[in-house]
Amino acid sequence: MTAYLIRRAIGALWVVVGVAVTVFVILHLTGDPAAVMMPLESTPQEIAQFRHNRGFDRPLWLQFGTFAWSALHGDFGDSLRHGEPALGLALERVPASVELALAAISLAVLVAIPAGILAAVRRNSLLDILARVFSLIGQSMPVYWLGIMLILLFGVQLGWFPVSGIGGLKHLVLPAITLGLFSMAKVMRLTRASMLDILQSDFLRTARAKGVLPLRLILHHALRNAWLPIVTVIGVEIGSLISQAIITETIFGWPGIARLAVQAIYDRDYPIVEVVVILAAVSFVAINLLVDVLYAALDPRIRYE
Amino acid sequence: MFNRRLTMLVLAAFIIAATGGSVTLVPAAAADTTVTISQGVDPVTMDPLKRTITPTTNVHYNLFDTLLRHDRDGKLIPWVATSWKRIAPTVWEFKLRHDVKFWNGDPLTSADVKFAIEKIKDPAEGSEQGPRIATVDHVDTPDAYTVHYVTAKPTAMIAGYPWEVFIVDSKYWKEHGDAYQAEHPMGSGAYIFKSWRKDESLVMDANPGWWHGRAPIDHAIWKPIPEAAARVAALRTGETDIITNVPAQYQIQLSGGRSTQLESARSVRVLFFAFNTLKPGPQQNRLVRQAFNYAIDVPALVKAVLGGRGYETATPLPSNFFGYDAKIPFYKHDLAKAKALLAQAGYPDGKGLDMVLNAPSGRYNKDKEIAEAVAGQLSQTGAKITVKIQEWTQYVNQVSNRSVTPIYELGWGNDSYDADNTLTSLFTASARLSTYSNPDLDKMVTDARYEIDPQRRQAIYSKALALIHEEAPWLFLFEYEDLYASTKRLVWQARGDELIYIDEMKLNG
Amino acid sequence: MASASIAAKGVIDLDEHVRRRPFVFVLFSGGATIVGGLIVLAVTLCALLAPWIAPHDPNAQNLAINFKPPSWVVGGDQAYPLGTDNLGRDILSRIIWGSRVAGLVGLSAVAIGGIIGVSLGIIAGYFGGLADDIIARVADVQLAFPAVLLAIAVVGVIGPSLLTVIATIGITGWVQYVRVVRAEALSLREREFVVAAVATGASQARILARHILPSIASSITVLATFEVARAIILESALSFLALGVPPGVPSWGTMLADGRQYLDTAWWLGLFPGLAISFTVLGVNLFGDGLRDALDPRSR
Repeated sequence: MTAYLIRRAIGALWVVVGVAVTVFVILHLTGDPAAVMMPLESTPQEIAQFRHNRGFDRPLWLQFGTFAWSALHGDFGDSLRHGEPALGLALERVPASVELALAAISLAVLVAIPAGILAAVRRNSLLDILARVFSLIGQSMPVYWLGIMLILLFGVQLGWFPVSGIGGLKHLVLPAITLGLFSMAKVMRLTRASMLDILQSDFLRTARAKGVLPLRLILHHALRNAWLPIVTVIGVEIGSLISQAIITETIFGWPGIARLAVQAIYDRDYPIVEVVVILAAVSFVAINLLVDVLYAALDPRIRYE
Repeated sequence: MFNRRLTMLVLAAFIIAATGGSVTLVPAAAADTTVTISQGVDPVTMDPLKRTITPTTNVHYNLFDTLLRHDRDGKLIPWVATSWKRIAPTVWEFKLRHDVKFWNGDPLTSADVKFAIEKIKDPAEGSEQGPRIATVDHVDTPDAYTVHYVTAKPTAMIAGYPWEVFIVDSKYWKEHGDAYQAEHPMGSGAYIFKSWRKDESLVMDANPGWWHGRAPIDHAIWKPIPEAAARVAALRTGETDIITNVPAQYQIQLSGGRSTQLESARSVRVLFFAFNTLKPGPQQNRLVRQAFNYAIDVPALVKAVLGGRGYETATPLPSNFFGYDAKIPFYKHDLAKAKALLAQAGYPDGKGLDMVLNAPSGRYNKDKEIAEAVAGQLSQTGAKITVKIQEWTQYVNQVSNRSVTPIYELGWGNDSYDADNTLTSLFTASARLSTYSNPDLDKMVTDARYEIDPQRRQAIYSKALALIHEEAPWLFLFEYEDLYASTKRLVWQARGDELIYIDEMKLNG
Repeated sequence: MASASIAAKGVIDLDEHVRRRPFVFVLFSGGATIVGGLIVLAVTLCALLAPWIAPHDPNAQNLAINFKPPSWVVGGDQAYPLGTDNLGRDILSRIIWGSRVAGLVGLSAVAIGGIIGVSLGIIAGYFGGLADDIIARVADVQLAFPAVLLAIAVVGVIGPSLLTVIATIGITGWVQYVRVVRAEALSLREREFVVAAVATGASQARILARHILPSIASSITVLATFEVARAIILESALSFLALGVPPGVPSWGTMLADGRQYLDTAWWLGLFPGLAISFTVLGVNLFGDGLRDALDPRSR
């Protein structure tokens, strides 16, 4: 297990390095920040001065070398837009994003898993059909469309929830639903499918024949076996959550890291984009590593060598 | 047991008393007034000498003072400087008030003005504000309350944009260093900086010792909301008091709303399409450019896309600018004439014309829709017109190296209320953004810049504008009317220069 | 409480439910596929017959008649059944033409992602070794990399166009195929018929073409169906970020992204393209479900 973990950690490190190199090259392909950062009436000399001050006139490999060296020391440079250290700017948005993501994931898991189990147990009941319809609709709505509909309905028409910004629990409701619905639909669908597989498996039929109580049966045997695919999907969902957070945070004016990233991408604020993408990569890799470890914990039959 | 019950009882009584008490206390507390303002984006820094983007400087204008201010009609009025005049061909003198203090009590003196200008001019600083003060060669301070802007050549326009350069506390700045200013401003303005959680809220309190008199509203909160529909929703639910950049389609809903009202101001920003006459193509033919100007129906466009919130232009200047000439006629919509001109240029029924209309998305009010509508109108001539939309950064990169062609959309606003900035930046051969080149025009623009006599200067501009109108390097569109909306409890008038001075607001009742 | 009672009889009831199912249930177990198939067929027909069935030119503007509501609403016009948009274009015609973009984006993006993904998946799974390691790392990098940044980069390098949108969606989709195909190829490699083929001296190409590809075809088909749905949703997300299909090509994503600003003043601008997207994705997903049930014996 330890050897396996070490090997995985090295692999993860490679992924982060790969992402860092890719983002650096891609950013420099997408155009120079000078034109967008400087006012339109600046002269070519002023633009050249800006580029020189920032070192954008040096060869790319040299720029990357400098960047990598300081990044290793925890210095990702100053944001072009804010004139402050990029790492600090990024880290101060993390709590808001984590709050929203956790709310969305908990919503997805707390609703989707019980609903998925019930749907599977009572296959083809009204409940099952509702759950399936819901999971299909949930997966067929673009996020921003859902967000604006929620704002208009629950914010403006009914006045139940605030429509913008961060604050108490009330502020969290609409953005969390918007962000979580897609994952909720996916997890529900998967929970139902894997529960069905298990329920129809021979060993459960045998257990039932032996007179084991259905409740215990479901909770103990079925769920334990259904965990694996569910945990996998949640791991993968983290990745898509990061992408969807971009739109959710924009629509709800949520002060998170995804919104910072989009603005930085539009502004070609290199240091911010680099630090955010690397942070995202690190958390993605870490979560997936965690998922794999959970795998082993949930199913002793899985061995890593 | 009994004790515990008693405690509960006392506690309950206490809670009731407390809540009851607070209810009766509300009228007294309500004297503390707060206004919430929602722009599309958050300010990027509290360092007032770096950036020039409106949502950021809008916040700075409330924290820092400037030498002069514009009133709502674009007239310069005394501010920290009580007077300003040219005392020699190359010297502008400003006399400062003696009673201006920074929030920490430091007096505001000529040294602070000099410090700000020098900070901006320092190449190592990399300030975007450099171009604005380019004509100022250096600053002299004959005494603590007199400032001299010295220019290299005599300029017609007052030097150094004194309504735009924020005055900072030089002592405080030197004490704490450059980096500190990004989150810890020290100004002398109407409001004192309190706290800032980025992309969330920025809080400021009325400055009780402001030299101009304490502003009526006690607290202001800047709360950015990027998505326009959400911004409107937040206003309607009362989560915010003022919203900027209101899309035209909401005007009926918001002006007729129970709790909302609409505010508008004729903007200093014009929107246009420029022809890239430096690159080969039919747009190099003046007849084609004129034909296209006749082919578009600006009033219909403004009505359909902007809900009537725009004013047709015949030249690049808004009507309240120095240099504007009302005698120059509009290109009145005339499809037959447009077709005749195209035929004369060798493109009967638009045959052989296949042109791209470039535009950004999300930069100017309805930029993309306007491009689509203009393309629709231009295709009426028979020409094949395709619209190409790009996100702003990619777009502006191409605009500023002049590679965008043949036709591209751009908006231009400057708060100098003077022709010089617009004509120099957009039409002279050496300017980075100009895709038009004409030595005669270059000479006129340069002459006017250094012509001190206003009448002669106006005459030069009239000639220049007539030439631009005839040569039609642009598809002339309109001046925007900026739309804001606010809650009804607020008394405030929007400004054409897009600034939001909270000290100009008060609450009803 | 509720869960306990359900659990108490749930498993036993299972078979009874299967025995006598009312119509709705039939529709949803086998019939759902038919519903999905019908939706997909309708969209396909729209795309193929657009020039003949659309009542108007989808790009013809008439500023004088903009914001006409649907014909059944007061102020509507029979000539424009779903109303007109902000520039006076016929929404129904734009939706009909928009099905072309949806189909094109869906199918080509899936083709790009599929070809890259399946090839790499087979290489990784069947040949293994160093290639497997490298591909796994690259796939992780891809997954950990935000799609929006990639989209901006692709737009920056090749300019905004329909092709850009297709390329972006295609490039972000390949990893899914690698995962599925690699796992299957890995297990197939050890199966008797493949081992037998290797023993008889069949060439690698022949083994791949004759044995491996056909065996994984059903998983790929099912995955591809779901990827079509993902592509259509992603296209609208790119439009939201102003990175979508350029104007002049009517697309549901662009219509929805533009229409979202009118949802509470002229709802028909956003509602109909929104419904078109949702219904199509729903149809594709239903169809995919059915396909999986039919192709995958285990879930039958």
